[in-house]
Amino acid sequence: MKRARIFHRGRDIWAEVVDGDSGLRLPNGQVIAAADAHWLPPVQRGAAVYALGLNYADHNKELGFAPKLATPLVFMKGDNCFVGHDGDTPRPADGNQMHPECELVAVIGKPARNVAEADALDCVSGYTVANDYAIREYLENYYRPNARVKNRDATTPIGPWVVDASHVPDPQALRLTTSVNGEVVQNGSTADMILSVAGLVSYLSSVTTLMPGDMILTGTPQGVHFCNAGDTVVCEIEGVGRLVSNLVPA
Amino acid sequence: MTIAGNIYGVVLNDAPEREALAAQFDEKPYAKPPVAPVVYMKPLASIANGSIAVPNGGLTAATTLAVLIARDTGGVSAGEANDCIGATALALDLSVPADSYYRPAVAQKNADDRLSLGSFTTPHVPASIRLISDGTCIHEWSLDRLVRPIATLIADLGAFMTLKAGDVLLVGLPGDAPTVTGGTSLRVEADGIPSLELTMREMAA
Repeated sequence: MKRARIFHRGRDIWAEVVDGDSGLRLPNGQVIAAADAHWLPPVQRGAAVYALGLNYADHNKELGFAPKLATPLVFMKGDNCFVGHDGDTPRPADGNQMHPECELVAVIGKPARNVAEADALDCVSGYTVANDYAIREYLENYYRPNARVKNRDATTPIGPWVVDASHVPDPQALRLTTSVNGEVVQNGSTADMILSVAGLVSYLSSVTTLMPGDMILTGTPQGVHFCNAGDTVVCEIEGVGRLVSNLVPA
Repeated sequence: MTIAGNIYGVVLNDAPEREALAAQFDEKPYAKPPVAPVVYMKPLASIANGSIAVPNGGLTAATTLAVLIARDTGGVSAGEANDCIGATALALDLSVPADSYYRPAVAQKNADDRLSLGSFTTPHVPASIRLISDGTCIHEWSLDRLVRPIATLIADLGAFMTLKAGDVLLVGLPGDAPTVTGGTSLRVEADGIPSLELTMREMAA
């Protein structure tokens, strides 16, 4: 099943994606056209959302970092940074080094504390797609990547929906692509992740307790492409979803 | 309304700590002093419930003020920021001792029991906050030490990230916070705001 959080007739509801992704079945059984939906981030208020930096060997090489860090580079993201499918993301006038980062997102389904890697995928209930934009001009070397880069309002498109984990038999065999105005700028595979989804769940469960609805943005492959206001950016992960983001002047 | 969203905090908002580290800020890995507020987050799962397990080596126990946001803060000026504050509480932010601010401190700050919050009451900013351990005051700091006073901090954050109604902001941590161990009873206290009592126990091996 795919579940989408949408704004409909004055409230925010979860709908089931049906009819080959063209329809959304509301809780009352009514089906509306997906093309008419107002998509919201499929993120629960209060969820702990973790994100990985430098979790693809090819991207680390591109940025001049070691292939594998001694400890995983993990940061958190707040509710303010998310924006739904086909929404607007502000591109600051001085953010000339703003680039998209297509990422597989694992959604936690049950409490996870000190979970072995072999059991970790049992704690993942679904997957979605995020575009964890970065603006390199705003990087500072304090809790890097710092909030001014990674926790800006509406600068992390996520969605369009959450697909059940049962529909993703191997999360380490998925193609990820990003295109900007139709030009492919990222083309990678989750096979190249340094810590796998299971490895990330296991690691995070050793330093905190993951709870249902929490999320892990698992990092991005190589392909740094700077974007402009007016660009249409599409992040797509095979078998998970296709996420559209519109960059607007700010 | 009580906590209904995210918990944010800032480090390096303590003037004496900034002065003490000033020479380091020009060296690797920092290269230059911080410009924007240095933000961390705590998951709701880190809020203590009952006695607090302290690992070997102890925990840095930093008292602070927790601000419950009642109105979204995006784009507010410092003059408007106080209108966004719905309530305040004393807080104790617990962290595995660390001497670097280079990488995010998730592994140090996010475990169970790493944040204790007092009762949220009518907004009040006390002059100073004390940490009492088994009846003895082991730390006190004046909120005059904040590099960015609370309203300025909210405005400077609101310039790029909105604190939403239901979020909590921890306004800064003292750079000289003591290390505490299991087996002690702690109290965080300040004038005009409810105290916070905590029991620290040793973490089971």
